[in-house]
Amino acid sequence: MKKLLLFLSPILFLSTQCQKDCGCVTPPIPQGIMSINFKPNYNAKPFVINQIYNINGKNTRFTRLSFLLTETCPKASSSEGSCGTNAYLIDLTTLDDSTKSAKGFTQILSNLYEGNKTGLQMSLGVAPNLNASQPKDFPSSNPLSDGGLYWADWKSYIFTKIEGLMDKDGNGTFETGITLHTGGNDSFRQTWFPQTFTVDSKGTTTLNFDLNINTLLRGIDLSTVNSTHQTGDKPTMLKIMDNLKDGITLK
Amino acid sequence: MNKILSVLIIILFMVSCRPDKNSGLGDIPYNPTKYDLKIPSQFPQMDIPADNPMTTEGVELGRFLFYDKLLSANGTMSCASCHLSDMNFTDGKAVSKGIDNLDGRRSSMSLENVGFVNKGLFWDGRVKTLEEQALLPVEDPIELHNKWTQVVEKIKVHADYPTRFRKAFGIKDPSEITKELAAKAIAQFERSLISGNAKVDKIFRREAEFTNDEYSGYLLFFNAAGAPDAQCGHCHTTPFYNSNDYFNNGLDSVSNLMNFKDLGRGQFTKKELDNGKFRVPTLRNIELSAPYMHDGRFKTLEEVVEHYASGGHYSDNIDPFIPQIAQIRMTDKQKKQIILFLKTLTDTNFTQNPAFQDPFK
Repeated sequence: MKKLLLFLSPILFLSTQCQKDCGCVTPPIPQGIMSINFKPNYNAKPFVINQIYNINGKNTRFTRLSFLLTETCPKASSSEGSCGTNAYLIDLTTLDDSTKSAKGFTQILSNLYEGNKTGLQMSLGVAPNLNASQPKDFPSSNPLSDGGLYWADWKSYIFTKIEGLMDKDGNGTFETGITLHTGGNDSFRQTWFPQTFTVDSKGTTTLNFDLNINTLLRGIDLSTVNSTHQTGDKPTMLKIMDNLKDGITLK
Repeated sequence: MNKILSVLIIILFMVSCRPDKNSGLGDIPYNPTKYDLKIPSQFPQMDIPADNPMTTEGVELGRFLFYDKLLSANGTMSCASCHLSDMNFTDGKAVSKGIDNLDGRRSSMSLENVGFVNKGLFWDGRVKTLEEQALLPVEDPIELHNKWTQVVEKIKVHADYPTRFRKAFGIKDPSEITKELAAKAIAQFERSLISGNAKVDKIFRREAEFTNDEYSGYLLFFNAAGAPDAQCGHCHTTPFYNSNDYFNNGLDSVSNLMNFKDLGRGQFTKKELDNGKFRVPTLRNIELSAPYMHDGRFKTLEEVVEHYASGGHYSDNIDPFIPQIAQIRMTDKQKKQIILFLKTLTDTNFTQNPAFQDPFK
């Protein structure tokens, strides 16, 4: 017993001394929270899902409008490192009346480092490192676990979904489907919104963004291009992603 | 004083009348074994509630309850009456019938891989968890038409169940058996119903190969490699060939969204735009799951594919993919190829798995 104590004592002593002397700094646990809000508008009015819009002379109703964000976080400087693996589904499909649309869609960003920030990095779509994953790789709490957001043939997540129905013949029946989906690493877009603000654990900061649907649909004739699923549809997909990047503005 | 004594005597008498056959469960060892849930590599992890971890004893108790006709008011039906293993845990009927031979409203949904469904159960998604779901059919007047209070009383005095509840949940006395514990056990059994060994799985594991027609059907289904877009894969996504979402797949033409015979999702959400929408079912083992749709209107896969190929019937909230299917003007050969692909989703190892069969046989 004495031998055992003699053996253990130096180990205990050394281990406690090491803790004192190593100069270790426990990394801060990111507990910051903030919100981002998106208000879609068309012709300068709140954009409402399933409302009829006359687009290029054709009555059109949108039934789904969503996009994925990854690599999206506030930063003290734009050159800071990765935002981690958080992903967010901005699903504007829920904005099906003008009141809801005027309030917009709010997404909470969590597990952020607290402190003063100089802007928000926003990445539209799924960053290539995450896009190499599959839904099975994520817990169900992560939107990237949703098989409906993954297109196996592209080996990519579906970054945006713009779906709706068009009355192409002007006969009052919205018989033409619109299914514009984007994906693939070349569709990934990143942008930086400069703004000084503070992130705290109470989530007091909200950044408000407008999404201009006119810009989103810029240069796309929905009566001729109503589906983007094939490789040949790539130019339209890239245009949609560029438009989305241009269409989001910080208020 | 006399009154108090009388009451006490009555209480003592009642307590003494309780069968003591199953009391003293505390002497039975409670050493639950963690259930070895074998999740295929192509599947995500399953969400298992922290307050209902799967154990071998819990799953086995759930299996007994699932197959036990004691759950119905007249002892003629069990959960398994509408969820038969050899029919991919459906019942082969357009709409299910309960103990009073009344027609149910909808077709029995498959329980295959149901543990992975995490955005609402039933055709309309009205409950969130299997634990909640398992409580409902027992008291539904057009299903088992019973009262949980009666079921639980029968279980408490049953020769076998109190011991099983002890082993699964650590109860010390039969009086601790509740409908919630019974539902937990049934939910555990349902989570064990995993199918991931169909031909298509073997193909992706490079243990088998598509025939040419199956492969053509696969390409059509997923709009892959430049094949015409039959649009199937947008709602029936891998690995479960379903999606955790609700769609109007163009079954009925209505001029007003309130006119759907079955409001489906809308009946639960109270949103008109959700009327006529239903949860996308899995296509795994679809060959064994006829008839099809929420009301079982299609008897064969040929009828189903014909419906979609036609572009469906218009209503204001029809899913945009449905009318687009008609644009490719699918040939008869292509329709057959899609069906041949669908048959590669058949996994009889699952439907014949002894662990999922009736323990009373």
